[in-house]
Amino acid sequence: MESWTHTLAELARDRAAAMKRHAFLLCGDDSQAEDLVQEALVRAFARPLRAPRPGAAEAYVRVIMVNLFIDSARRRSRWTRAAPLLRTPEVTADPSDQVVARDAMLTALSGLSARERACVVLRFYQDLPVAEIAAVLGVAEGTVKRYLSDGLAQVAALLSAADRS
Amino acid sequence: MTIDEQELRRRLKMTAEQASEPQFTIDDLIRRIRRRRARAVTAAAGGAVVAAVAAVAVPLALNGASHPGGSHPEGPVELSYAVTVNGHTQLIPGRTLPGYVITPGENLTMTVDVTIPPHITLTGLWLGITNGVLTSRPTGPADMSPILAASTGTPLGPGRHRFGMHWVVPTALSPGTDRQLSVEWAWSNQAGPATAERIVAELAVQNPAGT
Repeated sequence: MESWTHTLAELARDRAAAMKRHAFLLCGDDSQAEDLVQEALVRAFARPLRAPRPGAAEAYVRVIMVNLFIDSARRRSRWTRAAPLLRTPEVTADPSDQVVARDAMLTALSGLSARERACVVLRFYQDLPVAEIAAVLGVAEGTVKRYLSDGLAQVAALLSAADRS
Repeated sequence: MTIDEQELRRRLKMTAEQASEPQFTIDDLIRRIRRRRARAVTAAAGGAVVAAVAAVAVPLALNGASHPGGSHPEGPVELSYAVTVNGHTQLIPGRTLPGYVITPGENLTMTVDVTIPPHITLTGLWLGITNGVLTSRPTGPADMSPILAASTGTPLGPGRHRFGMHWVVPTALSPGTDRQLSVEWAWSNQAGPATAERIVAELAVQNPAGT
């Protein structure tokens, strides 16, 4: 077995579920999360001399995932601005408390810009420090702090409103 | 309830846990990766993108068709190159392209030695940065920004020509993205003006993990 396939197999076996959970928070849709993880894994290993080393592979794939998400959100926003009436709701109603809470969380996240959302997920779900988030997104630390501050305020307001209703 | 950071963490975790298990298989992934690698190798043979990472340089094969009778070849004109970035030159065996890991804000000093085959005269040559797309038109490169070096005033004859360039990697480039150092050249044949373009090195923005 080639070394990259070994690294990939180990990563997919042990960490694919965790990466999909991360992707789910980024895009808010289960099938899109599945595609996002797969595409990030394919991109990470598709270049023979750039295939990630064991140990660093997961971090590398997650960086690709976040940047793919931001790029795709940028492309998607052009379309959604042009055809808002054709959009279908991304979440469906479900009576169980857990699903209501999930939907409230995803709705709150969907109100953020792609970069704000990525920052919130990386900071409060992945527990990455601000400096590392800045490196992942290729922006200054101050920019990340602003995204986090704005994102947290907006999400908190929406979740609080959802709790009251 | 007040939504503080701790509560947000709890809710994010609870939401994330409702994602379903991944459905893809490792075999599917490996097949997709092999297909993409094969496409990249094919593209490299035609002069398109292939990745590579260490500090390297590559003379590409000289396939082409020099014309013994003068400077008006009928077939495609191929050049050969040797690339150096910040002093690093290294040969990669096979037909892969050289690749360099770069960081946003880094000042790159690059030299490209372009060898023009005998009996060929180029009417123009441009070197610069591209972002995955490289098309040419008679007036010069369409997707090269910035153009770092150009020879357009006087014809460029056979032999080796060295071009020195500087490029500061934009700080806005995200980790995991790529740019390419590309070359376009123009010549004339009996059918009229002709151009060709190739990627001569890939520049990969380093991610924080250093991979």
